[in-house]
Amino acid sequence: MCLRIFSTIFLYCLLSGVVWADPAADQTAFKNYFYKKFPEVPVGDFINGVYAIDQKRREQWLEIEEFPPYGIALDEGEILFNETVFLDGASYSDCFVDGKRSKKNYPYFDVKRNTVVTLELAINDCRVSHGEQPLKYKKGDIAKISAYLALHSRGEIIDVEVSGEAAINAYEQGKKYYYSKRGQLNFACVDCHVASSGMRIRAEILSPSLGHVSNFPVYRFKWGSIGTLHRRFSGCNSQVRAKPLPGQSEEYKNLEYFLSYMSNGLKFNGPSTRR
Amino acid sequence: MTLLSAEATQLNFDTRWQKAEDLRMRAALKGYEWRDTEKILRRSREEYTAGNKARALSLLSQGLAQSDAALAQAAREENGWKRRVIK
Ligand code: HEC
Repeated sequence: MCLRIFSTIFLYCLLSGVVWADPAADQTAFKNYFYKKFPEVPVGDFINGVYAIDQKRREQWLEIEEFPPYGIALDEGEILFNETVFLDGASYSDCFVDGKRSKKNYPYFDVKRNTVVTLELAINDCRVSHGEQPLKYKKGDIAKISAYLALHSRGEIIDVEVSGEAAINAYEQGKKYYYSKRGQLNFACVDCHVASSGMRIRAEILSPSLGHVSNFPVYRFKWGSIGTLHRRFSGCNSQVRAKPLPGQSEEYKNLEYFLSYMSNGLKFNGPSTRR
Repeated sequence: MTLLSAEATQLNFDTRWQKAEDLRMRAALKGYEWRDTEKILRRSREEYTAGNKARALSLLSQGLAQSDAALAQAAREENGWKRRVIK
């Protein structure tokens, strides 16, 4: 009897294509792949992107970081975060319980809203709930505030939780996005940042995906300014001639959620500088 | 060209252009729109209005082909991505 019920359920799952999502197992496999591919890289160093795997570029970068080009953005971000008074008299600190140390709390899955909440989304939610206009998501003031908050979460451990059906669903969507080929050039994130990581593409060396969220926002010389993680996602979409999505679209938020979970256990070290 | 056939050509162009646009939007809804399709279709429309029919039609074919290919990609990837997951 028991056996029959069990095999009926099993058959049902098989036929309906139910997949047993196992984020923890995904994470282990993801990390082990990079540990094996780059055995010389200390685990904690994956937060440094391409500079974890290329010594020459690392030295140039370390020199740049002595007088980082995001310094001005940081100062501006500090003022924006601490001195902005909203129309109703409130300020950012009314929305962020941990004040300037808040970045470590993001992204997380908000069950009530049934969506992933990233730091940048929270910044704009805060503004809107106090009667202000939202900021543009990919660059400008939001990236400056984000940089200031990132600085004060440096050294904190990335610790994203994925539990409950709705959160797992968002995670799975992000995972699907990461592994799907798109654009005219038919590339998935995994094609460039996993199997090809460490290889050259034009003037660039492809960084491993592990640790990819830790260093944001970044100042890029190519941009000549500081930008958010979703700005970078847009760039990577555009490179393969896929249409970039708006900042904080569900797809990008889920992708950020997935990637952050893959990097659990590593440390935040934003903001940073990239070519 | 008689007025009638000019109208027929316009109608034909509009129908084909709208079809390409619909396909582009379907691909976008699935999250698979390609980067340049919208631009190509817009330019096709502009060339047509400017009287450059041959260029307009060539661009329209490109836009149509891109939208088709993006939708095919979306269908392939519905399950295709699973093969790439790191195990
Ligand atoms: C055609 C190859 C290619 C594809 C596909 C691609 N990227 Fe990139 N990506 C690059 C290059 C080149 C860089 C700059 C060098 C580097 O850091 O890897 C980069 C950089 C990045 C960075 C910044 C890393 C850092 O240390 O600051 C992130 C994050 C990123 N990509 C995420 C993604 C995601 C997510 C996808 C899928 C939506 C993706 N990429 C698809 C080529 C690609």
